[in-house]
Amino acid sequence: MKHYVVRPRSMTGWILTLTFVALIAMGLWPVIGWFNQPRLWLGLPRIAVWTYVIVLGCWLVMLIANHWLKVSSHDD
Amino acid sequence: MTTSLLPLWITLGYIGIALFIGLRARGGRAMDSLEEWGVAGRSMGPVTLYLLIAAGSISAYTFMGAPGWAYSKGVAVFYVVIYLSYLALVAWYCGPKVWAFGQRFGHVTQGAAIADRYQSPLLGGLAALVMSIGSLAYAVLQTIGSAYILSVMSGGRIPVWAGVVVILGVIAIYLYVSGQRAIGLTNAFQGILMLVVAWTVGLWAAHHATGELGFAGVFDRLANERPAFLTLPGGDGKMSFAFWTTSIIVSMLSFMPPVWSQWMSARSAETIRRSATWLPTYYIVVLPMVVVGFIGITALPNLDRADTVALEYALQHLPSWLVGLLGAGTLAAAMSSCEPFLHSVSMAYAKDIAQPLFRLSEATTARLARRLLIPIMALIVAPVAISEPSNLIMILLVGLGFATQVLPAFIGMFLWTRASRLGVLAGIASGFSVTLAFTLIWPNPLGIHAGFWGLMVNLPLFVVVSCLTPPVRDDVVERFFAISAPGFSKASKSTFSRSSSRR
Repeated sequence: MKHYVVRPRSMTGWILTLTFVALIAMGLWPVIGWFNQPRLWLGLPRIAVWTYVIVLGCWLVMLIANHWLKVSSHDD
Repeated sequence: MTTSLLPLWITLGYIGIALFIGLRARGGRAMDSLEEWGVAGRSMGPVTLYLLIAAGSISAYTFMGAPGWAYSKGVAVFYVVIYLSYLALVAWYCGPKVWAFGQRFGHVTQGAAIADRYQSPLLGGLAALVMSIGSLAYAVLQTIGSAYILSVMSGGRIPVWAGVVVILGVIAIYLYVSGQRAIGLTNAFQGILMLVVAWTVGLWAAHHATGELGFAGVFDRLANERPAFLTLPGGDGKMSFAFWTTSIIVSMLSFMPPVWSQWMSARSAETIRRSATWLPTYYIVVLPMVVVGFIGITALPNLDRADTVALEYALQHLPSWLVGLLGAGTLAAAMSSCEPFLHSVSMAYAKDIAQPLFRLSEATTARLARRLLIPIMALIVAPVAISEPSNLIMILLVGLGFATQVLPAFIGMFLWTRASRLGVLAGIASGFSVTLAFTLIWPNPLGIHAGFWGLMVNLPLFVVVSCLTPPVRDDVVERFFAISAPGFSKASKSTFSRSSSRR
């Protein structure tokens, strides 16, 4: 057989993959460094607010991904 | 220590409810197969699965360690929330595939899937054995935390050894009787309890400390008096950007065996995606407990042990009923994380090691898995927990470091068809050795997580050795990748040519 590395096969797949990668990058250096200041947003440290922005982002991206992939009940 | 008995009664009441729910979870089903006892007949719905995974990932660390990190380091503690959210992304991508492997090929453990993919019971057994080191260390830590809580809630009347016996006894009873179904339902109960307790304690503590209903006053004061706690590298100067980044990467790539079992317990692949999608929303549970740690920076400046900050603050400033609820919530967090690890170790020893070694039948293996629970608890977890070893954290770190080093085995399941048995073995062995050395001898060189150093040696070696050694049989690889990459798998047979190589 021909061996291969799995990668997205559609534009939607690529967008989702890149969005996942972007979300992960949002929590790492250097991005996290931009929020590393002893100031408050909404009464919380900037890194704490950014953390929950990432949490929200993960949730939203997966919601959208589910919609895009049209996950159907035939998985059952 | 508290003198009121109310916190103890609330905590004992929680244990009684957990035991009742765990026993009822069986629902008259026969637990004589690993399909039922091990993965609940692959029947869990999205809400139960959501709470199962969420509560399983929130350990006593959230109620003790996380406030302790906030107390000693500051905002560095939020790395936990970030990697937990990334684990949800991993679950969304890998979980449905793992579920399909289990459903089509009959896997009930992680080791069984590895053994099947690489056609090597030795590799499956080896992975299971070494994964169990980290799993057992984790279970012991949670047991010690549980016993400590019982001791504090009883005002010292229940010694640690008795607490260990009580907690392990309760878990053993309902795990033996109801297996994964007990874990599912007790975790659902524990997950809801933790959420309620964390927010009640956090808001109450913040109100007590600042007179406000929110958390802004706590951080306003810190911004003025101790601003180092609001940035990296934190109050103790130890959480550099490098350690933050590599800790998140290593943690999100750890495929621990209980998580694998949880995915396989789902009713369908879609159930896992739906649960994983909502999983990040649960991690708001961490915020209020972390705030209690931040309050402690100014309210309890001279604590000997940072991880007691939430309990100490509650004992000194909160009403007895709330102290009792905190005890119950902390115990729920510890038990909900401890029981999946004990369950998965029993299954791994029976299915991945004993069955191929002694050629046991499926029925005998299932009986053995249930019965192994008792010696694992009585001969390993209880004695180690009672002795409270000082190097347990080290064992845990090495164990979790190893968990990440099994990554090549999963790359070969989900992403790369050419991964070979020897390539995976080479990657795991080299990665584990490096992680071990950079944990015990030269801890985290250049401020980079030891597990990340391990991966940097592991992954290149895995690729090189895989390319130089015979791949796994075509029919096996095609069987796995028909699930991992369905359209891709068909295309590769005819037209796919890029990034490919002939064996």
